[in-house]
Amino acid sequence: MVHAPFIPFGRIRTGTTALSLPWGSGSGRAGLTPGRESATLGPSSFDVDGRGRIYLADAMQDRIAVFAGGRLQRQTSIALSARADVALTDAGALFAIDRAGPNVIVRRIDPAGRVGLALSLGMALQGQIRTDGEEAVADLLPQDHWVAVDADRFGSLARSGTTSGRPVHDTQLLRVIDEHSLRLGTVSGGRVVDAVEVRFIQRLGEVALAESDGSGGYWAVVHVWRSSPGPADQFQVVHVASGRIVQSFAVGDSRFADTPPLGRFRLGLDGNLYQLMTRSDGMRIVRYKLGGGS
Amino acid sequence: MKRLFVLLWVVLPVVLALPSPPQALASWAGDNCNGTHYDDYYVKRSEAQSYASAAAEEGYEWGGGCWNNNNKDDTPDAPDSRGEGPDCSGFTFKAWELRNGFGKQGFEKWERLYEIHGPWTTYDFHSPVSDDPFYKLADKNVSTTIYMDAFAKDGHVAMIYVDGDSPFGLDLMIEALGDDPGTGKFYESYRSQSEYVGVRREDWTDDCWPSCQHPSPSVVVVP
Repeated sequence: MVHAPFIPFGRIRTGTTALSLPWGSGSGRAGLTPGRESATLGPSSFDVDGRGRIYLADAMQDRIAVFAGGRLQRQTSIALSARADVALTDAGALFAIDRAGPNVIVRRIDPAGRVGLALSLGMALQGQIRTDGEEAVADLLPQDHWVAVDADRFGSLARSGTTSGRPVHDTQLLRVIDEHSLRLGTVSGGRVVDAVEVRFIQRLGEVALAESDGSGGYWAVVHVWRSSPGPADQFQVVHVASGRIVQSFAVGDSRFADTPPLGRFRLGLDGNLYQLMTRSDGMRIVRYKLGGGS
Repeated sequence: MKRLFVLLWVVLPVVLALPSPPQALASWAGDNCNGTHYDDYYVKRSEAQSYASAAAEEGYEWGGGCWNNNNKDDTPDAPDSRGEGPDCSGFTFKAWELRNGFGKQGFEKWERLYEIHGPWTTYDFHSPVSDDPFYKLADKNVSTTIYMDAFAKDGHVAMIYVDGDSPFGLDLMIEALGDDPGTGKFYESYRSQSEYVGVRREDWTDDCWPSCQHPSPSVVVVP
């Protein structure tokens, strides 16, 4: 067990802006539906490829928009709900998980921007989608099962297995959180290895991100919050490896639109951490360079 | 007679070609919302949960409060049309069986197909006053909240669908989320968000009623 450093509320890292879009209609804007006795809805998710290009699920404009250096590179029209989650493969294909009535569906956009047919994963509540190599892994709730989805060479999708942990290469990533601790582990060869429990002084909400660092350690982003003396919340980033905290810092919770809770952070394929933030004037994706000490 | 026939021959097509007089615009709610309401007693959280659950997949309508139970939004892509579904505060009002008036205590059953929103907005749920039949919880800890309590901010309110959070720290909520996602069950982080407060409806009857006082049946060991 390791203890995460206590970071007071408000002592946050600001990062650098990788993408900034005002609200509105059109290719250079991000769609927003202001809440009226309902949630305020905007972009639902994003991912970042190895070159730092940002793939934005602009759900209110029914498109996946690709930005490089803050400029639109291309966009693909696709019907998205405000809860759609997306994830990129190493080769540049993008998978999207979404709701279709009571069912969960997965679609794939190939690297050329062509949208394939949807695969229904049946009746379930939508969790998140991630990738493992060139296949997608979809988290179905409330069972918290991960369903692997493969594409054949024609782009047709098919289920290829179900696991209780998230498939990562030939292992499974486990994550469990309670009010003050985060437990991470890897199932390999039928055994749990590299297990670690990280204790926090502050109260915890969700695991907004949990990723293997590729060397037996983990990157995680957890929501920390308090009710008193005054309500406050922020996110704490931790890198834990070899049974110790290698790096930890806090980032803010800038939230104007009600972005789905598991669509707000990504560990980009370029190795940086990204956060989707929203304000009254628009959205930003902020980059935090990782590495070095805390 | 012949002149009359000619007149009809000429005039009738012209009359038929004229636009028909304007009629009242039809709406989904106008055509379907024929439910009723009545005083209710001994209302349990489990009953409220079941009632709310039937609204899942039934759409969202700002200011609305009427839905059927066919698991589809009958008025998709038709906002502000007196279409199917509640908004978030109207959904909470009906699921909590609040009475239609500030300061009124007790429970009133509103059938799904009775169109009503109630007087409370999200602002009211977020900031209850003393004569409201609901109150703000001291904190939002998992050990404090019970299912069918709500998390509310000025702008949105949602009810906790089941007790206990998930392995990844989110709550399963039931809510009228918006025109696009509609009404349904969604995993949310409202508990952690500082804009949200916990709110509880007063005077639920325990789920165990009417058997709460009964001791567990004795175990009879047969030799």
